[in-house]
Amino acid sequence: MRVLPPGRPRCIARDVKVKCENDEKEGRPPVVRKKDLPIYSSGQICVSCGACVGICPLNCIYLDEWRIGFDEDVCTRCGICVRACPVGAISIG
Amino acid sequence: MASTVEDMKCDILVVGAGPSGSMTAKWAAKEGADVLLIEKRQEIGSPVRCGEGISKAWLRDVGITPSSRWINVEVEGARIYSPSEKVMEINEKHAGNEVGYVVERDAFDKALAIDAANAGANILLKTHAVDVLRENGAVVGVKARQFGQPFEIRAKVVVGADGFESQIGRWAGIPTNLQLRDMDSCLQYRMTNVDCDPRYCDFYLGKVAPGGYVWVFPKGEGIANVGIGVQVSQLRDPADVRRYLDRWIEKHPAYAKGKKIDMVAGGVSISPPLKQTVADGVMLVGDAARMIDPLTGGGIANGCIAGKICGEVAARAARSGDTSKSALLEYDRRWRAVLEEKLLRNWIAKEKLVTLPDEVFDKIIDALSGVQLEKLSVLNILKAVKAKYPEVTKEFENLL
Repeated sequence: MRVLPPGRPRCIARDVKVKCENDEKEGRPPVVRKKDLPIYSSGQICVSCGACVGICPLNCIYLDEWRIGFDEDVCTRCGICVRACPVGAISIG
Repeated sequence: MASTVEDMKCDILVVGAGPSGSMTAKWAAKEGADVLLIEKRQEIGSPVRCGEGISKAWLRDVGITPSSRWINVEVEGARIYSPSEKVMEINEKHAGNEVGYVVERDAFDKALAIDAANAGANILLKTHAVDVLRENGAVVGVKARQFGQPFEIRAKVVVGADGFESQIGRWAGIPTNLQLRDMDSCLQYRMTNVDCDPRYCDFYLGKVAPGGYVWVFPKGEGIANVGIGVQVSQLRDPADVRRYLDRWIEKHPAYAKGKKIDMVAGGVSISPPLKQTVADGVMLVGDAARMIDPLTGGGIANGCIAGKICGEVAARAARSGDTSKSALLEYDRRWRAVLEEKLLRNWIAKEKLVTLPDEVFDKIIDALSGVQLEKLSVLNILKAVKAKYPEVTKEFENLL
């Protein structure tokens, strides 16, 4: 069901890698970004508008009737959905 | 035990019963095609996800008759407010039909679906596509679910009219991804008990809405849609959009006294036209095809105009038996002939406008506020601004 669109997964991964390297260089505690951090959408805040579904570069968010869900196998925790959500329903970590 | 759903077959399958989908379905049915229109929700047109302001010149061209069943207010013009709230008025007489109506989207969407049904299209509710069906690389239908029951729909042409969060294009391999600077995240309250002028749609520019604007569209009887769009590339913290809107309302007593009766949110593409909108057996239309105007955020007109072309081309392709990409490219050529130049020009303008500091917006609106523009066009606006603040237009030279 979730097909990788002709998008930019390599760019997202590179951004995450660069951020990790900068964290290390500037002495910030290392944060494991991929998969180990939970990604969650609050059912109480979410209004099922679909903005996150439309912007996700890896197409790993789905809108099932009134809830959204994440494809854990594909999501790299890039955080674009967190920024795009108009009501701030999504959180990572 | 839940009953199973029989597999179905049709000429044209339209996924999504918003204005673009219903328009496609209507015009395909008028050409004699066997059309099935599916909608994932239980109700067409609701919940509303729209500012509900439309221009009116195009309605007749696609066969829509204005009706009091979905028109709230017929506005006389638009007012554009600079950051320091100097105002520029665009009156209908001068804007040449650019302004129009504030509508009830749920009634409007249903009216368009009724037109499609009357033309012969069949409609299924609570039916969503979960994947495309393929044969020899071409799309030949979709896997669907109705009330949770899986089944297949075979179609000569599948039309993706499935909105901002469109999946049909992605499943068919058509690139529809957006850059963060090409998306506005939007939130709107419908409020009652506000003081607004029912003759005007109001737009507020500047840092109050980075990369977008605040809008106030009157619905009549002291009710107004008060909403905001903010460019996603300029968003920092979660729920920033809500904070921007709430802060603006707080600072405007005419609206701070309002009481919310509805809240909607959504994503709006403000992108250049897609390079590809067709593939073997597939066509995209409306928000799914990123046809929203990148400057105004308005998508209904473009989606409907393209929807008529899409329906006609799809029906003829299905009848001829050739539903390959090259046959469907006629839709691509026709919609681009009508829409592409304006979309591209408005995207270039938007890319420039989102970089402007508040002082420059003030100068532009100030230069325009005394002027009666004979015709609302980017060229006339630039000429008027150049007369008073030539340093500002230096940056826009490539648009002149």
